[in-house]
Amino acid sequence: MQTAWGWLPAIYLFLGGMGAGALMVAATFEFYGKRYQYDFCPTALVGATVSGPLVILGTILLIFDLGAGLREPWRILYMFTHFSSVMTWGVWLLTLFIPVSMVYGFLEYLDSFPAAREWLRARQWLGWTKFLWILPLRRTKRVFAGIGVVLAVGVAIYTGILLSAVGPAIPFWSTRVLPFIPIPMMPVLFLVSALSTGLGLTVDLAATLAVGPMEQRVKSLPWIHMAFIGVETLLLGMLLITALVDGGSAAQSAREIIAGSHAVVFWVLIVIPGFIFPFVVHAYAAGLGRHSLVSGVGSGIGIVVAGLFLRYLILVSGIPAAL
Amino acid sequence: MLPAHWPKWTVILIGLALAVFTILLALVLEPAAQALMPKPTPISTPPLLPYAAPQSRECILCHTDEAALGQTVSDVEELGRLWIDPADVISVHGRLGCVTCHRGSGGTTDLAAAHQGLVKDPTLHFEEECLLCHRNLPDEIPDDRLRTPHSSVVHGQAQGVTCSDCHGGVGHGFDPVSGKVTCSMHVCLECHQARGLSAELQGCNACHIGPHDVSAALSCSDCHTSTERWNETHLAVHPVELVGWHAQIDCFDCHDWPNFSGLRYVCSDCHQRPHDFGSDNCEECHSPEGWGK
Repeated sequence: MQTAWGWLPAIYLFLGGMGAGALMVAATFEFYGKRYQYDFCPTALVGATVSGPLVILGTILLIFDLGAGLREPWRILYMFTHFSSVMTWGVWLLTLFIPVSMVYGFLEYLDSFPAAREWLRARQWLGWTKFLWILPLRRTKRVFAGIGVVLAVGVAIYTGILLSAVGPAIPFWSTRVLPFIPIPMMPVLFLVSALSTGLGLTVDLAATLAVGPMEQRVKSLPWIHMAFIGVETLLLGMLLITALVDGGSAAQSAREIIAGSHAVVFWVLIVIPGFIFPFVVHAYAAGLGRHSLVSGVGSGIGIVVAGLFLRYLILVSGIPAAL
Repeated sequence: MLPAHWPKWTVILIGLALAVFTILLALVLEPAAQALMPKPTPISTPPLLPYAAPQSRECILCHTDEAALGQTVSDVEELGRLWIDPADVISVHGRLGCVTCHRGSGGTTDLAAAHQGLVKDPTLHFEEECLLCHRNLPDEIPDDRLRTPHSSVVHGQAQGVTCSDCHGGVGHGFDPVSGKVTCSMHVCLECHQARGLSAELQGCNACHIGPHDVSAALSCSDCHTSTERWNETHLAVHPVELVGWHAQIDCFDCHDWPNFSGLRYVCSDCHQRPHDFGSDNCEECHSPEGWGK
């Protein structure tokens, strides 16, 4: 087992993925008009406002994990110009995503709470921002949501690309989508997982807590949830099967996950709370048109917790290639 | 549902709090989950050989210099034993350095200090010396058709046998892998005789896995005359006298390898008759010395 990457990378990969996923969900509500169906849209509000802080927290942990970057922060500047490195792609994505998502979140907050908007507008010390208040709020917000969603897809994929780039040393991390398809699985799996955790946070948890059963507002939500769980299950299954077919240390990683030293984490902390329980909750909601507050919130927490454990499991089950 | 009097922006804090809660929960749950898993039996890691090639400089300088060695050793035979060919210093085992296996101290020119704690034959302590590098030794080498019962030596069944009994001074030019020298088998044979093992295990079969299925009728020495080269043979038991051209060809030019099957011992088994006259009994006209005779 590799021991260099443990909880800290798992946490910042999770925060980056969930932050990006939350923004993608909020932007989807924005562009499909669901945001304006009711006066208050907790999904769009939470998705837009938490994405920036989550990614900022993840980035701080990333810099902390870099070690050298913490002792000599100016060395991080070198990472902006090394374009052949995936690290540079990530540095640029995070550098652009953080301000865009923060502005988007701020604009969504102002749109959700007009009183706060008027309070800020009345502040004399903010008089120099007068030119900004003449901009159309929602149209400006949409511009940032549009840019943000593109960057969010990049951030979510990047968390997987980072692992794939280490792939030659840890074959499990560079496992392909299928044995005969030369596309790395990790970016695809992490993108879907980012969306899934974003949905869990903004819909299952935030919206259920704020306005009750969301499936009554958006009838297709249970089906969307089930589709995401299905796709994520399929991708995870393909990852394990391809790794087993590949053999060597990748297969050993898969065996450790399915029935080895990581089996409890996989089945008890990922499959049950992140796949089976939410699927049952949403199948129930799709069939009967409702689910309880507890099952909705439980589903959200389960998906988010499983998202973190999924990243942790993929990291700790990596086994270096035999030399 | 959140209490009605809570401001709506509380949901943002709840979202952020969930992220933090998730991380804390995971950090608590993961050790608990791991505790439920059966712990694999830890595999003992053998100690590493105390590599000390850089500390062997003075040993090499003295033991490769016959003149310097002669100042302290007068006996010619002893001198020959202690002298190291400089070429052997760069052999696989030589590059480990003298001190790595023989201990002592290579950092001094003082004779007594240099030889303090010296291990003359490291293979007497093969568990601490040879086996640190040479693990998973084979009991047979099929490609060479050899029996190499290393496990008997390692597990103490062949007591008193050490690595150097067969493999000689591997750090001093003995390199069985190259094929230029062969391992001694006298230790195997002497021990087998002393233990009164079966006659089969007191002969060639003690070490060699014969390829021919004729052991019931013949022993190796019935045909093979050399322990250096297998193709040196004397066919005293051949049913047909091998003279002329037949004495110069290899056994398996006529016979099927490895069990000598496939011949009825008549000329036409191998030779085609180039003419119509005469019968299949070639010997009516020809002799084995050549077709012209």
